Amino acid sequence: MIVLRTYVRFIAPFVALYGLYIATHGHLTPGGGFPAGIIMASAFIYIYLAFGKGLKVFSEEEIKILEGVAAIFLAGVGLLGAFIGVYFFQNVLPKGRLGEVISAGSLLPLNIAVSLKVFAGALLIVYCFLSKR
Amino acid sequence: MYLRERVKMRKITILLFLTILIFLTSLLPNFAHHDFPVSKYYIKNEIVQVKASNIVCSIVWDYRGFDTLGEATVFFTAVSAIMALRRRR
Repeated sequence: MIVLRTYVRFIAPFVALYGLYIATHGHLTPGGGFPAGIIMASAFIYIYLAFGKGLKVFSEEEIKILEGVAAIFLAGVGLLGAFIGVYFFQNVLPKGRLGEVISAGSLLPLNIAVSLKVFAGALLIVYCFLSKR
Repeated sequence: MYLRERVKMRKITILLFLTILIFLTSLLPNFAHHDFPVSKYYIKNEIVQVKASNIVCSIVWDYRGFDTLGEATVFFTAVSAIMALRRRR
């Protein structure tokens, strides 16, 4: 138990940071929103598995709200293309230079939104399966 | 009697769908011989139109953004189904 907790205490922040990196660099390097969300969720799943119920970082209600907000954000970026441009999910935001983090128009906000959504969903599934009733 | 007929009908339906599936699979292009114009279009124009160095991401979120919204909806449906299953207990 002590080995597990020490290891989790060491590794969890790095895993969460790596997930954030994958999410924000989804349009530059291999990866994207979906794997980034799973990686970020796995950091909190480590904490939940090692420390038990006493250390839920996010409560279930917060996770539900986060998932809804992320879904609205995702659809909102899509609707932005419909309102400013011509069709749904059109890439209307300004595209910077190739290879920079803030570039490629709406790919970055969409990646972040879907990573938050997958993060919330995966964490919610784990909470559902592991919580006793 | 009735049940036997139903089982027979079910087998016939499965056979029919399998035949259609095998026929449609034979129409697909050969493995490693893909020569779709759309993939050439993506490789040629992506760097100018989207300016993302990850072509897969630009296809997923730019050219086919609506499909990916459906993908996210599938995940959302799975999560809500699990929540509903737990609530029944």
